[in-house]
Amino acid sequence: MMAGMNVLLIEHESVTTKGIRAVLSAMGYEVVAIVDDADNALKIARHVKPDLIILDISQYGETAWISSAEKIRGHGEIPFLLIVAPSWSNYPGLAMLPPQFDYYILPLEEEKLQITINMVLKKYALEIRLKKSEERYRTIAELGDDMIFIVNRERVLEYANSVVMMRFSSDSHNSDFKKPYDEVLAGELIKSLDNFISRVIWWGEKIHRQDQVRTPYGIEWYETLLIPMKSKNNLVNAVIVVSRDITDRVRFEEKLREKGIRQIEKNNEQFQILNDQIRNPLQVIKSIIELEENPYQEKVLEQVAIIDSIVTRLDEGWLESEKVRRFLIEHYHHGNPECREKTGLISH
Amino acid sequence: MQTVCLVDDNEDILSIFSLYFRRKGYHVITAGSGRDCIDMTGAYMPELILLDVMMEPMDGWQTLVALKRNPKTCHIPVIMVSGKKPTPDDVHLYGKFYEHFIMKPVSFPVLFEVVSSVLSPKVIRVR
Repeated sequence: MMAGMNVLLIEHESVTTKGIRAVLSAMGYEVVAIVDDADNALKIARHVKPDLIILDISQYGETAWISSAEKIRGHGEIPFLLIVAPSWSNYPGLAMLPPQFDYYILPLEEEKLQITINMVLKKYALEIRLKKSEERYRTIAELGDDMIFIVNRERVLEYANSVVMMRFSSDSHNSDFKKPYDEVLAGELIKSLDNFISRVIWWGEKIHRQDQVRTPYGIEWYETLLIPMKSKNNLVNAVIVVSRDITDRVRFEEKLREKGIRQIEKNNEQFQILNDQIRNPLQVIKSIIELEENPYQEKVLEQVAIIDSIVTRLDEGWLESEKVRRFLIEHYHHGNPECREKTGLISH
Repeated sequence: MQTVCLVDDNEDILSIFSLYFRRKGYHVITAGSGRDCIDMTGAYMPELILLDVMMEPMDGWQTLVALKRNPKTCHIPVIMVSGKKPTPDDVHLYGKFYEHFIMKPVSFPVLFEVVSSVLSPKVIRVR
């Protein structure tokens, strides 16, 4: 029992009402107001701020209370409980009750009513936490430039942040999802992800991928993470898709690679010139010494060999650079076209 | 007497190689550039060309291509000489157009052995 709780009671004055008020008082609740229609109830609720609103519909016909109850419930801020007549236990009674409504079936019993009220209060507390969580996550989802959308198992779009809607929806201001996602979102990227969404739903494993797509603005690259949302029994209920436009990064990396290759080519050119320039004088020294018998011939040739081996090591460094250059050219299609192909008898 | 054409933009190498080959009994002609080589070869039709790679403006590869494109000179064997190793691209593009590739600094005995092997008459097997 939560002592000191304020209750707003909505009903027509009746014997039942008096009974409800008495029971609530005995339970330690204070009935702060009794009103007979929803609009008045909301006005007073805003003023009094009760902890609980009880709508006694035991005297109403089955459909008469609907609009009042929906008005109160739709307000959402205050826990809300229906008191219903025992006849509601019979079909169609409770079956007509929408699932969001909590109810208590007369007759009044303090202990049972207390349990019901506790359950309603707990449920509302959870709903508020959930709502705040949702708001928090929506805020986070809207903070950055990443595209975030959620597709459920039936391929219905549950959520899409504004970045997704602006890029891939024809109606970017429409936040009414709940339609097949390929009806709301379009574009080459969405099409390319379709297969992978199915895979995540089927296999339950996250997927990380990069896609190159053609858009009205040219070629763009996206990095996407598809994450399964699973229930307690490990079934995939939905897929969260987080996608980032990495076009600028890809283009920057390409430029860096190209710059790297150009630098390697420049270094290579310098290597070639230097090594040849060193070996020419070595050749002259070696040749002069070999032409005539000389007591220093062996020593000089030894020194020539040493210098030559140093230059050979430089050559090997250059060849490694050349291997890197060829790899980059082959795989990234960069490099000076003149270095890639030489004119000659062989044409490509 | 066989004629050898020496092509190198380094005058010291040209003069010292010339001295050696003359001592070995060859007639020697020299060219200091790729352009000169093409002109000299066309005029003198040597039995062998020793061709440096690193020259400017026309390097040894370009000179080789020009020699092989010319029906008058395409049959003359060429030995490439260089202080720089050929790249895989060089070998791929030009490998079948030269007889040998010699790295500088080369000793004369080795040079002479290579030259002799190129100039000696080939044994043709008749099946």
